[in-house]
Amino acid sequence: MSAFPRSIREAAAVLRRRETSALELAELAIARARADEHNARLHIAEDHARAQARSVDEWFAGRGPGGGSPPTLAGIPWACKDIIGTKGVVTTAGSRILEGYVPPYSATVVERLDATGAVMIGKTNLDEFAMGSSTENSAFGAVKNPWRADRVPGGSSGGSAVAVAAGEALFALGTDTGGSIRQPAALCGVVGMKPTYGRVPRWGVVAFASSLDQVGPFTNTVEDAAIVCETIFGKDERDATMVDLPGDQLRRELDKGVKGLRLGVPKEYFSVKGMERGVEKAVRDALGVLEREGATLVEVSLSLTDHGLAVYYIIQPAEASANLARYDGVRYGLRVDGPDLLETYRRTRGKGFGPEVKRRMILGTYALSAGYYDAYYVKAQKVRTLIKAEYDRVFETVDALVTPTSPTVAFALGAKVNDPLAMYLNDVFTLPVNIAGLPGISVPCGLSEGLPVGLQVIANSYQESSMFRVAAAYERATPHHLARPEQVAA
Amino acid sequence: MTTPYELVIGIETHVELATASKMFCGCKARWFGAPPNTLVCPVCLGLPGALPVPNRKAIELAITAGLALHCETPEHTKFDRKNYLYPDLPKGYQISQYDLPLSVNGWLELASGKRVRIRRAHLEEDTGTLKHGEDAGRRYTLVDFNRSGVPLLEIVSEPDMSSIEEAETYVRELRDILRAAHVSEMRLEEGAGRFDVNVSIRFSEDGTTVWPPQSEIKNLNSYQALREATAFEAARLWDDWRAGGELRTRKGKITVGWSPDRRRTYLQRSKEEVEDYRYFPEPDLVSLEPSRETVESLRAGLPEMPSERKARFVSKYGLSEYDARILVTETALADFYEAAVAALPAHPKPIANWMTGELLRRMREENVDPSGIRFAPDALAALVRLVESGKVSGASAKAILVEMWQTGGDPEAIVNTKGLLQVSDESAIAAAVDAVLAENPKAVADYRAGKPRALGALVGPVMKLMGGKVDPAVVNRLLAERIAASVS
Repeated sequence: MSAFPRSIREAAAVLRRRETSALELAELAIARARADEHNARLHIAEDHARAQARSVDEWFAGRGPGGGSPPTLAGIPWACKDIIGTKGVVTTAGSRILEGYVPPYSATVVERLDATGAVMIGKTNLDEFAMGSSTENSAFGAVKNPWRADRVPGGSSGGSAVAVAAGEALFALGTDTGGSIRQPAALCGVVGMKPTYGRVPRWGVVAFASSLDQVGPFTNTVEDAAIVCETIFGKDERDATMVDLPGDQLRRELDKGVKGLRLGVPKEYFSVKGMERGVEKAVRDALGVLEREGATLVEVSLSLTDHGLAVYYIIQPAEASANLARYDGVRYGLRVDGPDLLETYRRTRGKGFGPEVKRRMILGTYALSAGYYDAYYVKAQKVRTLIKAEYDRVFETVDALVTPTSPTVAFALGAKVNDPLAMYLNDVFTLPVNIAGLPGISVPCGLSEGLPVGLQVIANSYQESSMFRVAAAYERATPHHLARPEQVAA
Repeated sequence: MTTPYELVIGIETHVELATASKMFCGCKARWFGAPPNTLVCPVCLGLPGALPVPNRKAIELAITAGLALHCETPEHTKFDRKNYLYPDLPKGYQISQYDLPLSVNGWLELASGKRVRIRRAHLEEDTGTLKHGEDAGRRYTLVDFNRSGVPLLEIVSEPDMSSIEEAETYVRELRDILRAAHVSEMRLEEGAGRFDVNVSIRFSEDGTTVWPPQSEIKNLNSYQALREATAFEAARLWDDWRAGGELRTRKGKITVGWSPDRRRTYLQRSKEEVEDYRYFPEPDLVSLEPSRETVESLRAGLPEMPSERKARFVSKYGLSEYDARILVTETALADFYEAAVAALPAHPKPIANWMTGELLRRMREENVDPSGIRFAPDALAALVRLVESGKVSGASAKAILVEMWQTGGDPEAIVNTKGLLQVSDESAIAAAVDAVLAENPKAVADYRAGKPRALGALVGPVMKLMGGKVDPAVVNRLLAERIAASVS
């Protein structure tokens, strides 16, 4: 086969009809990854992918582990954000301090995908330790948006978004701490989904901000996202912050439609400074589509939206400052020796971390310091509780919220690198969702200035089913998810 | 020892809990003596992506320890991160408990009747260990993470102790309690119990009470170190005050270490260098809310505490404070004692005497703990029964015990095979008495001259002639009778 499939469902069908082998599909994905011109890849795991593909082909030939027919994801090539640990495959978190680090164990999500026979093609570029909204903070170079090479792909999971948008993988995993899946999905015109906090095991995922981090998929379609979620959702005893819930049959929700659903439209999400008119128009059009499909739109108020950013930039750097303390050069990763212990620490961390990581560690250390802790960290946690309570109240009257994913389309490379506040503001619609621990999905809802816009659907905790219902209904009603950057379409 | 000042001592005790696995991972917790870095995994090595999962057993033991110390167990507790960088701390933070510990507001009653208040007891993870070396003039440090993540309970007392003796009694009794409650073996020689001693001096000067800031002596791991370091530091504080030293102007506490070789403390951190640990709630764990049912079932499962058991031994069995104290120090020893008494309820005191005397001496000589005794409590009871019924002599009984100790044999069987049954035929003993009297005319004359103690010198030779299988009291009586008879 020469054309890359457009969805997991399509590829799975082709594999089942034995029109192509998993190995052929993997070779195609490897070739496309090698031809990538967006710097989306940090590592192409060719041998690893071929070995996985060969064993899947055995499985299709009836010689699989434990028999049975292979699951939907068997033989599907995917790409993994390089902050998710992969046994025997380099995992850098986009940082010099972990350059060349090979984990001795895989993240639970990777184990689960391995077990289904999904074929990991390689690791994708990201903002260092997932700190950023443009993938320009990678120690290994910025990622370019496949829609326009002078634009950012969003971040921090920019490489994963691009891998799917540019047709180099059929899905990719990212992590979302304040929007790092949904925002790049919006800016690259693909589907990106962040599960409820506690739905997906964090075991083996390099920690950024532990109370906010969650793994989720990038896909071409809402259905594909549901397929991946069904595999990665579910309790893992190794992550103590998980809730024990039965795995959802998310695909069953997709055809239910939005008729009778009440969808909240938070007015504060449309009055933010810096909101582009083209973005607002695309999202308003999308709301109209949902209404035509039978949903009832309800204006709601999330009055604390403005405070989300402040809360986020206390809690997230505070947790990160502790999470990144382990990179001290003693056991693994970069080490720059000095004349004494303190100097070894200084040199190792000074050389190993980039400027944004240092900025956040300084912010976080400050917020936790004696004399400031109560004023910053404790207060931020209180406001976090209020934000969560406000969402709880809103979800008493609506089934889901529909909002823009990002106030802008993909901005120019370099435009915000020296203005961290402007950069942080790009996550104003996504980070409150992490603060409240809610699930959110971004689906393509058209173009503005020739660049993709994302519609965000937010549901109550553990109500991914209603979120998928809304997203799938919207996708069925519009052709926007089929739009692809020109060079890929060609 | 009288001093011109009063001592004020509070102690933080770090205890390794007796769990099979570590605090937040499945690695073995019994680290002592294992080859370096063999009991490790991504969690206790602090690898990227590893997450902690709390050890239920450790939490239960920590609550149990609190209950044994009469603490309250709050309904809402949590873990926090204590941030500092050091090579033996793999994550760059230690998971500990800051403002909501598992146990608060308890007390421990010393033998004197004085209560030492327990402020709190919290659960945390131990660090790795460092080994410093030198190779071809280059100094290096190696890190062993076997101990990393071992559950530690930190028990903080109020500054209620006012002498070094009291401080030592406190830690010894604390250890007895934790061992009795099966919370920890607390083997000090393996580093499973460590003490931080806060010591300050208080005195009167120009009619007002002066109480300068304390010193915290870190990481003492033996009773001797605790005694010597506390005495040294208290004297040093006094000397410093008298010499008009820094103590006169210092506001906060200092942290010192103890050098056992030089037998002196040394400054580790001055008050200006007080570390900011930036505690915050551990986001990788949910809050810890011990259910009341759990707490009550742990309370119901608490064994009798050593001090209570000691009091019972004194009142119920008529033992001396001293003997009772020796027996209850080790739960297994006290259990052994009570099992023996159950087999021979008529003679609790002789059983105690045999245990605190002959048996304990052998255990100490050969470094054997109660589980290593080869014979059962019933066998000890049988031996005491033989003695008390007059069937074997005390001297024979010692020989029998030696045999039991070495082979685990049954005392009655030993008596039979070795022919140690006490001779009760007085005519046989009388013959031996006559023989000895004939050989010792001087002693006989002395006795007649009014020196009753001369008789004592004759008992031994008679016993010897009889192979030790006679009751010395009978020999004594017969000696007196035969001398008296020979006069008349």
